[in-house]
Amino acid sequence: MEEIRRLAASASTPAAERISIEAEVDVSRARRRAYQLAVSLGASSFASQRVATVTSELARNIFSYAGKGYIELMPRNAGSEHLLTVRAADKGSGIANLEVILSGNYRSRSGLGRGLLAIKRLAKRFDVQTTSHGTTIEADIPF
Amino acid sequence: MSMNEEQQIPILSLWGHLLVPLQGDISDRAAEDLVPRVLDRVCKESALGVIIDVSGVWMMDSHLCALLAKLVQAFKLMGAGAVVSGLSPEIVTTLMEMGFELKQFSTTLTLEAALEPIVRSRASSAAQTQASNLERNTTNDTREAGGKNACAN
Repeated sequence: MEEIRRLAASASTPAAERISIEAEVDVSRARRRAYQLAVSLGASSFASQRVATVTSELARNIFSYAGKGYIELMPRNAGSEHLLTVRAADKGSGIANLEVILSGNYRSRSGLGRGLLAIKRLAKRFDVQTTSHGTTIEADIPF
Repeated sequence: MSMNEEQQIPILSLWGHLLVPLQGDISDRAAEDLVPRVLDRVCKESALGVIIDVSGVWMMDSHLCALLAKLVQAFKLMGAGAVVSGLSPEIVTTLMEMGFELKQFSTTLTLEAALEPIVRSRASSAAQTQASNLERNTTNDTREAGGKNACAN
């Protein structure tokens, strides 16, 4: 019985997927895969667009500022709500001025602030852990 | 892979204007490569305006949106008009949620709507030319007829 319950739970919540980001083509690959996954989970075209956009922003940040890292796409259920958590992790030198960036008062020529702020506005939950040894960002998108 | 080996975004000349159809997944490199190419063509062809059709674009993130804004601003500085056609409801909604103001964009729902004033202007100018030619021919005929009459007299 426990086995059946475990199988049912694993069937209702697909496994997380990890996509390595090491080249610009990986940014395109990550956003396309995020969109496909969201659609396959039954997300609307609007929610799938949000998922793809957030993934694109995060993947570009990894490639542009850390060189390499990975994106994880984690479907999960929170009560009756379906969420897709997009996690970005890298071992870069961290994000300076994070507070200023997220306050919306940061203007960068590189576009880092613009992308992070966009993710924060699209996500239901947005969490950034950054040190001089690396950064992990998580964004929950409901669908 | 170099930009030449990749699929370059096409720039089409159309009745004194340039049409830039964006399709599918636009890589950062292809998008950044587009800026100098299209500005160069605007200058060389003295283009009256540029239509950027995004109806084939499935996703627009902050990078592509900022690049379009930069292009539109550059066209304005060069004296060429710019229209962005075919933004999907999903893209518009997402851009607005991200906090991007699209005020600087002149937009149309479809490519046809963007082309309509150009086609209308061409039709009107063709009609004027035809009317002018007709008038000239009529005047010539009258002169010729007058001449004949004068000769006859």
